[in-house]
Amino acid sequence: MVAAVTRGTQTLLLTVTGAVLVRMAVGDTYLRYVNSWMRWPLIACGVLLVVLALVDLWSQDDAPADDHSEGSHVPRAAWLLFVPSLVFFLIAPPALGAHFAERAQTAALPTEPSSEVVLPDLPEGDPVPLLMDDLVMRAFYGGDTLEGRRIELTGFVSKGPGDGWYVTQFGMNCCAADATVMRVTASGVEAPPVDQWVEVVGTYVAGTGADGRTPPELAVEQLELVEAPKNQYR
Amino acid sequence: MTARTRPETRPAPEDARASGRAGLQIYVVLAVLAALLLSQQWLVPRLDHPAVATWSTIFVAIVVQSVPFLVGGVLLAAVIATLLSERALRRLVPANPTLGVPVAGLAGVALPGCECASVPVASSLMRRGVAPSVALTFLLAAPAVNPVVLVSTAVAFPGRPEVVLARFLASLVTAVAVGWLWLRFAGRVPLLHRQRSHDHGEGAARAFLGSVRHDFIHAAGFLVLGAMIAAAINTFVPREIIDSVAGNALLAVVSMALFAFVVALCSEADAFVAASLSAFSDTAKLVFMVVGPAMDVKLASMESGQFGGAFAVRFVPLVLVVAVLSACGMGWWLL
Repeated sequence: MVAAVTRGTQTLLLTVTGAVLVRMAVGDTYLRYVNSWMRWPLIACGVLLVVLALVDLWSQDDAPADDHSEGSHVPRAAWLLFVPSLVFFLIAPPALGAHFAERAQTAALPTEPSSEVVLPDLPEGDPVPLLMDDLVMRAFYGGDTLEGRRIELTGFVSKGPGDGWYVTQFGMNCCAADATVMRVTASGVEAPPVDQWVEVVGTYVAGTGADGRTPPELAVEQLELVEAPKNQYR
Repeated sequence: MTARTRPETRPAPEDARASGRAGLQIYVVLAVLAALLLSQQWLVPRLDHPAVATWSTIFVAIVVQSVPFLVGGVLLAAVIATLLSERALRRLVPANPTLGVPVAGLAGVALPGCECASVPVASSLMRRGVAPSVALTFLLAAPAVNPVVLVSTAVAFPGRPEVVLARFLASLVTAVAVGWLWLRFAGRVPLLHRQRSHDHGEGAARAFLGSVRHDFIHAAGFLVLGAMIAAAINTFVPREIIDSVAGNALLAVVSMALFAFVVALCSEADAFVAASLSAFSDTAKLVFMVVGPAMDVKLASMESGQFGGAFAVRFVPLVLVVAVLSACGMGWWLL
């Protein structure tokens, strides 16, 4: 049998939860879980929870018999509110990586027929840095705009079929639970360890990724191991 | 009032030993937390497994994403509970519940929030004397038909306004149909109401903060439970199982409803996920988008905490069935 959550413990629960939310949002840790615009809502929310706890401490001093008043009895499920804070401190969940990439949904491709879409030419520069979603979409529409150019792409390493590997990145709408995966097959170089962030320079292999089922392929000429960016999602 | 109120169970206050132990609890909890944090160096390497990391990331993500919306919901619930006058509430909600149900459905358009926000709001409405069926309609409609959800659906399905329309209508029909069915057949189902003596001695500010604090702690534990289950499904069930049923029309609809129930996504995000499930028919995708905001494992958990188990075992299946039928009907008609 689990003990009922006393008022004092409830105050602790609010303080810990609020402090964790603020801690997460003040650094960049929150970017592993949610969108960047969530920073201020999270800070406001964390501060509010701490304030609620403080107000309660103060009013308990006022009336010591308060423990038996209304509102102090909550379901035992309230204990579970400790779990996210503990998981946050003990496991320190990283941003999603190669393990989830193998099981995540592939990002949705546009549904307009290619006849209605005019893609702008790639910007100047050699190699030209390209975002993963841009590359996948251009390849899906036939890849004409990619041909003859050296492309620079950033992502983390995930395992492909056989010895193959992908340069990978997650797209995110609300939070990491709805993350969809975008991949580009990297050919021509040995796979670095999974979850390692890499910057590759290579040329698009014509015709790959046009059916929307298999990822586009990049013939890699140059591979550099890099630090993971602050926000690892697209 | 059709709902019964249950007296609060509380530890006998006259038992001095019990209350002494209750006073000790916070110190025990503090000690355990401190011990866990001190053993962090030892624990972290032992928990270092990719599946555990993925589960914990998704779990923390769902909680972190939902908590601000839950706080928004309990703030609005506290406004309804302490600041909104009886007269204003009368004017907003028609006295006749049969009429109140569709009004509540349309009122849902005005509250752009996640589904977790609407549970405390619905509970607060009921406590203020709004008929349960009307409050439940609002609970179902608010997360499903608001502008944010409709815009994100339009973005996820570009050039296909009929999908947005079908989603709007199917969700609205679900909310109103459940409200009317509840009014007609389930008036006597006991609803758990937390009784609250309104201390008129305390100031409005104190009452407001007390309401926010109480509602938040009350709902958050169940939110965490739902998030744990949803993260486990996301991490441990292979996608192939979900994908392999897409071919069969009936199986596809049933599995999409089930999928929406267990993954418990935000209603603002589910359209993008639905759009990415390219193997499924449009009707199956619509089922996913209509069931998700109306009922999922996180909501079922929160509702059984808020309104009681007897309520949840009736309400959860009713909503699921109505949502699937309504989505299939709209899908057949519009898509």
